[in-house]
Amino acid sequence: MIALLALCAGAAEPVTLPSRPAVAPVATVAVPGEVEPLRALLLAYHDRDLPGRDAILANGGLPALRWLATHEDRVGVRVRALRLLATHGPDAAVCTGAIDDAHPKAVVAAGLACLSALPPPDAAVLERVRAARADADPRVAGAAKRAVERWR
Amino acid sequence: MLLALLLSCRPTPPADCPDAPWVDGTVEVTSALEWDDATGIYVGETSTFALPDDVVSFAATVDLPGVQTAFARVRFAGRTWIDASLAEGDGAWWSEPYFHWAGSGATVVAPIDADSAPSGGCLELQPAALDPGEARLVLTVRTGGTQTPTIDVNVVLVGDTELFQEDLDEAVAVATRAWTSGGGPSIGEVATYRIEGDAILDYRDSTALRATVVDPDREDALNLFFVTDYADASGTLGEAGGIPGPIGVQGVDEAGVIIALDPHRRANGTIDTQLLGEVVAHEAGHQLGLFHTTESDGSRTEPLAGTPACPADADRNGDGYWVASECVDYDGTNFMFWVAASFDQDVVAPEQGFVLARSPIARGRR
Ligand SMILES: [Zn+2]
Repeated sequence: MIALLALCAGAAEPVTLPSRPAVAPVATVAVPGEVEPLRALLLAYHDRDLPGRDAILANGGLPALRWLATHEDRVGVRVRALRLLATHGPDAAVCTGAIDDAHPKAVVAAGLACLSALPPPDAAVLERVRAARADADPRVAGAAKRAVERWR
Repeated sequence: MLLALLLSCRPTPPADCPDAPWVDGTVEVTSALEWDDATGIYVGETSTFALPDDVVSFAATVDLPGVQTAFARVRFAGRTWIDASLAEGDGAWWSEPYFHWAGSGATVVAPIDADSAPSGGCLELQPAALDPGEARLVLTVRTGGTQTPTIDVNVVLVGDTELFQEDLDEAVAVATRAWTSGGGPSIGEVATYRIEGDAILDYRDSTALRATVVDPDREDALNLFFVTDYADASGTLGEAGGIPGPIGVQGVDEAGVIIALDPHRRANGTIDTQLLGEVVAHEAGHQLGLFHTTESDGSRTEPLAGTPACPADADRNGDGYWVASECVDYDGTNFMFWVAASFDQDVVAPEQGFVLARSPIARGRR
């Protein structure tokens, strides 16, 4: 009945991690004082603790959310700001600004999700979203597909 | 004569469970779960084990892949700690100190606070689940010393997830600095692996990912699965497999912590290794049995009486969220606070350190 634990061979391969390349520092925009309270909430360890509408409004509201969705340096916070913006007050300029290829893929995907909460964009933006369906990153491709589907 | 000598070397069986097997290491038992009217769940046979006098801690997990499992009953050190037949009071599900409930790979560890340190004697464990099936009960018992404890980790990169050695080293140093500041363990050997899979993880695949057998020779190491991001919950920093989650065993639902790297990056792609280290310390803390010191709404589901709590009047702006800066004089700098901060969260309360240092997967000197 009682047996020593014996598991089958593992599927994991030991690896050596590469060294970190030098990366030029990028100047970041200082977080305005009126944005800091909302930023503090978006640092939640767990998604379930992200603020609801009332807490967003009590901590700088949509202007603070738009600032974080546009300027925040930390990818996780910016993505969360875009996700909350999509739910509580999507802004075409902010959402479109986030889908620029220069941004990290997580930000682009969140920007696409943000855009999809709005009516269909103009032809040029729509074309960019359609093209993003073929992106190699599944977050971007999936968000673009869902956006196009929603606008159909 | 020889037989008599051998017999004299064996420890005296506990009087309450003279036939129970001694456990020092890991054992498993399988049990068919059948409906039980008293608890309203499916339960298996109660297994009884004898814990040696020098027991430091144990972890027990009920494994039934894809099913929400639980413990119907846990009894040791002369006290019933979990009893699913009770609606309320000591031992009832959701009562202190375990706040136990059904979940994938349900696990209990002892100690989970200063009072639940196990002692030599009988340990009774009754597995349960919300669905019927043949469940595995896996028990890991730690004996020996508790001085200068260490916990080894298995860093597992999923798919083409990228992590640089320096980033990992810095994050491990941050986590170690935090844990040891409160008497907890340092992170010991770090082994790195890569497994096939999606670097962009669907949330629903989290349980299956954690059930990976990483390295059968390093079952007592904590599994940290690194993915690039969650596909459907981008922004999530990381997630433990339970409070506590399965430890000391691999190939079981929820047996490890998942860390998503992209949310830790800055716009130029570099990793914020201070945040990464704090997330490793925090999520591993959950996996080893620690709760948040204060929840986002100021409430407290935390059995450690000695851990500071943020008081009700700390929510100065009245928004219903107790953020780290509002609680900085209490537990806002604690690594198990519910939200990260713009300042370091590297404080570990002594009772948190006690639980971490005695974790069944920690090793220590006598
Ligand atoms: Zn947490």
